Amino acid sequence: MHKVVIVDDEEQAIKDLAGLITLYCPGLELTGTATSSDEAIDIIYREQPEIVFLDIQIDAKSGIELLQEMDQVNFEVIFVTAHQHYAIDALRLSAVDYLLKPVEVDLLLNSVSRVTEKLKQSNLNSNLDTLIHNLSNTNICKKKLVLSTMEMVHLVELNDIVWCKSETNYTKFRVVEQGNIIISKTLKEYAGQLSAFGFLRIHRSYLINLKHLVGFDKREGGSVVMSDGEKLPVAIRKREEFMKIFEQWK
Amino acid sequence: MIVLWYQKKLIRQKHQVSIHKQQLLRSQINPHFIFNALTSIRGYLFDGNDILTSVNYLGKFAKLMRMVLNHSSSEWVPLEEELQALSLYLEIQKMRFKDSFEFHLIIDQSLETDQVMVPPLLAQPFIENAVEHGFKNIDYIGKLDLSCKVEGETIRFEIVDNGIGVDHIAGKKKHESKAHHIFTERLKVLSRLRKTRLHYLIEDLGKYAGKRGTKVEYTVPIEWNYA
Repeated sequence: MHKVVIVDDEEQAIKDLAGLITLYCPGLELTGTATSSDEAIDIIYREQPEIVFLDIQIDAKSGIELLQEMDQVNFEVIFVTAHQHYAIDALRLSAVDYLLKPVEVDLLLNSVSRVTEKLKQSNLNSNLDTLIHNLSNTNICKKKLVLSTMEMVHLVELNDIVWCKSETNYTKFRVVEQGNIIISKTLKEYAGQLSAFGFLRIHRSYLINLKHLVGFDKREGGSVVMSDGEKLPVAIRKREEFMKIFEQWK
Repeated sequence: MIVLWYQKKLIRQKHQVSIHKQQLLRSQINPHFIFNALTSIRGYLFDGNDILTSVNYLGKFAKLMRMVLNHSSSEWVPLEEELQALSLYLEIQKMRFKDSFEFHLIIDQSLETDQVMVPPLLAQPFIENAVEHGFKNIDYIGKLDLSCKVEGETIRFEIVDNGIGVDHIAGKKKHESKAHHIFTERLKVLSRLRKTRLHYLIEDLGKYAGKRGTKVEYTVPIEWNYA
């Protein structure tokens, strides 16, 4: 049995999640709940849970502050939130587990099994540190992305990503000084996440970081030159959109 | 040429009106509220023998959603329905926050609420601020009074709460400032429409000795419903 604590400032929301856990998660044991940060810290020290469900507020960052206050985060965290773009972006980017309220049973079960799997291994919390970094750092360029391969978890600053290439079900990242990192996720997933941070899909197979763009070659339908010297094709349909961005810089 | 220019102008105006309508829609209900209310309803279901509460709660929630959806396409709604929507909203929030506050609607006796038409849900963002932020972390029972009375061709709304006060609400929240922006925009449009000056005031009552909370006061034009 894994010990669980729920932290949420609304009592009714605690009852809801507690109800779901009792009904659907026989492997979890609810050992405590808290409606404030202080209470939460006490109960976490006392109960030593393995999993904490943590509500994060709109932008009060209370959940994150709680984690920052703890000397040691030696438990897995599943974030719970009711629809907020800013928070969701940060969560997605940091590859931590999160659920949207009202929590769907299937997604709860997914998160729980992913987290219990992680508990068996033990590379805890590097993702969490990244999240704290992403939420507390307003400087977009310093935001980090978690890229985890079979052997390694890479923490890469968005600024250092030059381009990404789609290779069927994989994505190849070209990173400054680190070379290529290949991740088993599709380019489409990253394109969605990174578009808000100055990345542009120039082709079915390529996503580029506009900060690393150094030139545009007009020959043969057009291609971009990146800071690492690589030349990448621009899709015909994307050419117009791309030229617009180029115009803005003139 | 002139015809073309005029057509373009018309299109532009239509476009602006539609943007404004969209803003109206968005201002009217915060998705956050919807998802939190649903979570809390299910919370009551899990809470042993509180099935009655959750059934009651769900009924109110459905009714409010229906009213909001209907109202989002109208520029004017009967005051009676407006007050009903606001009190449904408050009742739902009361259930969500486990009766941590009380509210009263104080309506001028002489006011025929079915005859008077007002723009929908103007008061909602202020009420939401009071309940979700003003009453947060207070250790006494929150109180919210909403009163309205007719003054000539306008109606005066007053919303008073005893929460922490608008100046003490930590960090201006995105949604609130947007709500505030949309409110003032709507008020501007209304005052241009009627060619009257409309009054709007929001103050922290903490600056008066022995008082606390927030007071919001505004006037809106009315239409008469003779149908």
